[in-house]
Amino acid sequence: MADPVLRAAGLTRTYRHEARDRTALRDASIEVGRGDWVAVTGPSGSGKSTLLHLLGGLDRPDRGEVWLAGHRLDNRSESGRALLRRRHVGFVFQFLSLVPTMTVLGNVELPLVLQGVGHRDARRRAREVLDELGVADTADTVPTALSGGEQQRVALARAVVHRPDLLLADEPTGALDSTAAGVVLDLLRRRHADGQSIVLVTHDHRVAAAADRVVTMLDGRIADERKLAEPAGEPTYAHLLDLDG
Amino acid sequence: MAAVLRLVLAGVRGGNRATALAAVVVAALATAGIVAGLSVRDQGGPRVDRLYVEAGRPDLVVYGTPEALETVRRDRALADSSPVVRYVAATVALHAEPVDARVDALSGPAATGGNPPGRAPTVDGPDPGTGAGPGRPLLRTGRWPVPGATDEVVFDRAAATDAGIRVGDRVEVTVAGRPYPLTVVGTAIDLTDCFHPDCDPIRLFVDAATLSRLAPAPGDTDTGAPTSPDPTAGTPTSPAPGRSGALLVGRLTDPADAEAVAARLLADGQVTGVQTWADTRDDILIRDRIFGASLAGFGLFVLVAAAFVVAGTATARLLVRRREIALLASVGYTGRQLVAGLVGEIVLLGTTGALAGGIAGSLLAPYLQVGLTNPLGRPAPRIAPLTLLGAGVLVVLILGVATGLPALRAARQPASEVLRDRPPRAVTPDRVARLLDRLRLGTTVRYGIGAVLVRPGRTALTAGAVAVAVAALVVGGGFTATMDRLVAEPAYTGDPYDVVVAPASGTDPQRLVAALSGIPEVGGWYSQTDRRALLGDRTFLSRAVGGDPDDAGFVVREGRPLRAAGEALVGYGLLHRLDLRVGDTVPVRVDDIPLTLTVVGWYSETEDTGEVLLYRAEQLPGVPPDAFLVSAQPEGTPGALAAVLRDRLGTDATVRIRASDPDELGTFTVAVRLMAGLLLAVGLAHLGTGLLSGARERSRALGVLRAVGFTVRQTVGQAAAGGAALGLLAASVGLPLGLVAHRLLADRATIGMGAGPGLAEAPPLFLLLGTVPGTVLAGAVAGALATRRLARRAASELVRWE
Amino acid sequence: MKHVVLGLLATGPAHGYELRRRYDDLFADAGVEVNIGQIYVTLGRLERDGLVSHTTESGGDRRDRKVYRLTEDGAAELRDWVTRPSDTPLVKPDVLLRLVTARLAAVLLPDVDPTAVITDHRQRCLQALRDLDRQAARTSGTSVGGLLVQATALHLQAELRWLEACQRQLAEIELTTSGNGGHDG
Repeated sequence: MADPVLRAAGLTRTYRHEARDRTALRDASIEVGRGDWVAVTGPSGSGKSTLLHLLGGLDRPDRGEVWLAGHRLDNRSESGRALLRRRHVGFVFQFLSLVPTMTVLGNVELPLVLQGVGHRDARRRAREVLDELGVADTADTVPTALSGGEQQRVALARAVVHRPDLLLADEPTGALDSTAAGVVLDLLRRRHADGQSIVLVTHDHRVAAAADRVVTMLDGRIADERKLAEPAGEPTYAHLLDLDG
Repeated sequence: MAAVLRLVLAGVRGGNRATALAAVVVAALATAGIVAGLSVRDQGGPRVDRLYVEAGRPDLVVYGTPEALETVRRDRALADSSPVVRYVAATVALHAEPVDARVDALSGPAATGGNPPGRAPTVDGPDPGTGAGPGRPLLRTGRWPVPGATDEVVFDRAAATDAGIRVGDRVEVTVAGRPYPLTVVGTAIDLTDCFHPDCDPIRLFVDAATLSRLAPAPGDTDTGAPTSPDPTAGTPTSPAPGRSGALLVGRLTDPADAEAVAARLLADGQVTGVQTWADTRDDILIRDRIFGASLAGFGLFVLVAAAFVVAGTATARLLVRRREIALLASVGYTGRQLVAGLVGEIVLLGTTGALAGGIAGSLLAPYLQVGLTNPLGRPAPRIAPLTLLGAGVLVVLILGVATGLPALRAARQPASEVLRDRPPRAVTPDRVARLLDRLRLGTTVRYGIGAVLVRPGRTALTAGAVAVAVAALVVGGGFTATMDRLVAEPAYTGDPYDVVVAPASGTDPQRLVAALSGIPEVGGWYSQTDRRALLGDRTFLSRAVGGDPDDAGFVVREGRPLRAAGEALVGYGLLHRLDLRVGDTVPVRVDDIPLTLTVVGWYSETEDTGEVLLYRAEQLPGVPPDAFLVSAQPEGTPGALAAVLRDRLGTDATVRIRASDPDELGTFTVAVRLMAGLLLAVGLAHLGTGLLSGARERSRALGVLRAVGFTVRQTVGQAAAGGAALGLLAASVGLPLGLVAHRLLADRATIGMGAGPGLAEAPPLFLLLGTVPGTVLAGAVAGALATRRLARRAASELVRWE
Repeated sequence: MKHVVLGLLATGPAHGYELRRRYDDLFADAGVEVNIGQIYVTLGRLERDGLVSHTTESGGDRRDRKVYRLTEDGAAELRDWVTRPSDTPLVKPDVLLRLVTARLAAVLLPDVDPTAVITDHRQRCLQALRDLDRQAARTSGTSVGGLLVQATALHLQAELRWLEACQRQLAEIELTTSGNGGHDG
């Protein structure tokens, strides 16, 4: 991996809460190659979201470095990180990923407009992506009128509309029922098949298993990192049914 | 009940201390304004009424010859009367300017040695039961002159306070051009006319022996027409120096009859002037009434703003606490209990504030009684329980309603939805969002405005509070401008001149006319002769105007100026009181002479609250003018003109610069500005807190925007854009609102002063031009400040925030 | 198997190939296949026990076929089995036994890392989940196969969650075992 999209080394982050320090993340390192899909999983409070926020520059580590698409991220100011973010990163959160005061189309255009893409061009590309994700008909409504699944699809559209180097998703299916979650997961699979690099945080192992690599976090540390193989052949479950008896 | 109480206390204890304090302060301000205003307006009356009783109920003051007055004393309408009091007209220097004075002879101690009747001095303190006659002056400091003393004087209390004259000082009283030094031995209040400086002359009291010294020969009888208040200028219509006269104070069997008795006495033609207590009382109280009403009006203004503030704050607080409310609902509180708890909280806070504000207002009121402080002294602060209760109930009621309405909505929210921990649903209509998207604003501006529009209700409340503040500012500015013009242009108050020339006793008016015509510094002049006039059974001040009518630059508001005999020009007060119209013909009697006058117009006049009738002096043949009113050339100054006139006229006349009396108007203006400033502060504070709570509530959305790539500057910028939009909204509502309110309020005030409607001066241009950009800027700054702290936080914190 | 065949016959008499078709309708998308031999072996055993009987049908131009049906005993046996309590899904403590054993053998086998027991098992579970999702793509949520996939996935997820707990408490497990050797013994 000569040119990783993301490289983070030795990340440590301590929060001070009511005069007590709580270390949310200790000495975490991770590398994401171009086209990789990494899932970060672990019980709640294990530091998954903290790691994701540091990787996306939403927060700064107390120690350690983050390099995003060849740029050092952790030593920049809030605004400096925002500028890198708008070019290289797309974010999807568990819920409320959308700006409630803008239409769906306005939300999806946002990253393009922030990059200085012209209104007409931005509008066209936003519509294309919405169409691709199957939510083109919602373009002129406000996010609050949409179901949770539709909102997440729009959020995904906004996260990928500017073709970011890295898609960061924080429990993107966490607030959805299994059907809507399946749709979102399928969309992620499709983007990944098209070469999108993804870091996905989830406490759901089944969602995590969709990734190429699964990082398990426990108590603020990376406890395990496993590469998964493509499914080999046709599995059978005769042993589960025990039909020979 | 206990459950609700528990809720109230928990809310007060656990709520945001700043918003709780804001509610208390706002309630206090509104109550203070209302209570102080009502106290100023209403407490003056009882004080003056106590004086009236203390002075033996002087219902009627009659001027005339001693013989005529002796006849009046026996009139059956009079229950009691003072003896006939002799007086002499004089001038006294106050602040180095001559002021007209009436020197009354005290009868009594010298003659009887006991407790004398009539205009006898009362020994310190009220004693209406001793049988002393009505109208006695009320000694406030010092003592009465020793019987037989020839150089002791008791000074007019209001004038003494104003000029800083104390017991023991020497004053120079000028009678017919001759100065007499006298020693002040006391100060007293006299109720035969209203107080200095509203009414001239000031009253001095001397022993009969002193009076004999001042006016050895009983000269020609003074007309004695009492003069009246004029808030902006001293009045020239005073007895010419050196004249002496007599007056009588009577108590009526039926005080309500005063007007009719006065008319009858005047119609009989025996007396030269009659003044009723009702007129005097109104004159004394008019200024405090106007001021008090304005103050109370501003209190209401604050209250309206407060209602907006509290409703906005309540809505914001309820949003923050909606989860807590839902939890309480799940525990088993009913919707009604929850609303009662929330309203109870604001009622508790509001009552605290109203109580504090009411007491503060009561304590403040004595300092605001601009018209009465000098003559009567500053009263001890008095708390009127009913006023306090009424204002408090009003304030708490409005605050309660302002909280109750949003609380009802909050309590109606299904608890399950809230407990699912979803954020409150935003209500941006698709249309608004689409419209904004179509406008192609910059992203920062687009989001900022969208965020403001997302909650139309709360936006309206915040904008409303600011709009009220803007309106108050416009009203304050306009009011000040109007008052300033009334002071700066005395023609609007019926005093279109610079210098008063009062002929000395025995001076031939023609000589003065000739002299005036020969002085190049004189731009113009007119003469006036004041008499009580009678129309039916109503009396009012009539003024015969001589000289060139074009020089009498009265501000004619409707019709045309006075030109020829047989015409009349009336003040708005009289027009209104007699329900006259331009073109009407009125039969009036002046000095027993019947005159038939056609009203050719009405003009701005504040003297006698505008109840003045002007007619040509030709209709009073042979009556010398009381005074000549002289204007300077356009390039000249009143001071220079007065100097020239004094030099040229010598002892023929007393020359006096028109006194402008802006001191108390100044108090008034300061108070109005203070209130406007206060409202502005409240409005801006509310804007700030509204934007702050809005920003807090949107912190999650701000986090999302930051994740998408908003910089810190863009985050602050969007808040500034939102604030600016709010400011624009508020200014565009507040400005026209303020202009309309100003026109109405200023009209009420100028009508109240007698000058008539339509004198409202537009607020200063810089204020009008500056209001919109100023409010927009204030909104932008408030928005930026409100978001600054949030913008500095790490984006991850904002994203987590829920 | 025998109760499944009894159940398949409960919907009506059938010959062997028909039974296999019925079986495939229900279980094929779960990847559980059966061959016709297994069906006939089972039918033979059932007939021996008197639970099913057969008649021979003429197949026209083709050869004759045996058509099987439930006997009264068969119906009784089926009722008896269906109403009997199902197995309680108790977990086989396989991983735990290996983990504990690896601890005990720490001196004997110093190159074996107890944590690896957990992480290797996690890898297998994750891989199984991944394969299962491939499988799930071909089942419908309402089919028997779909239910089967769901059951498996949930068991695997539970196992993975438990592995997290195992890993976090590994240190304490070690303490306890060393404590046993140290005193009281």
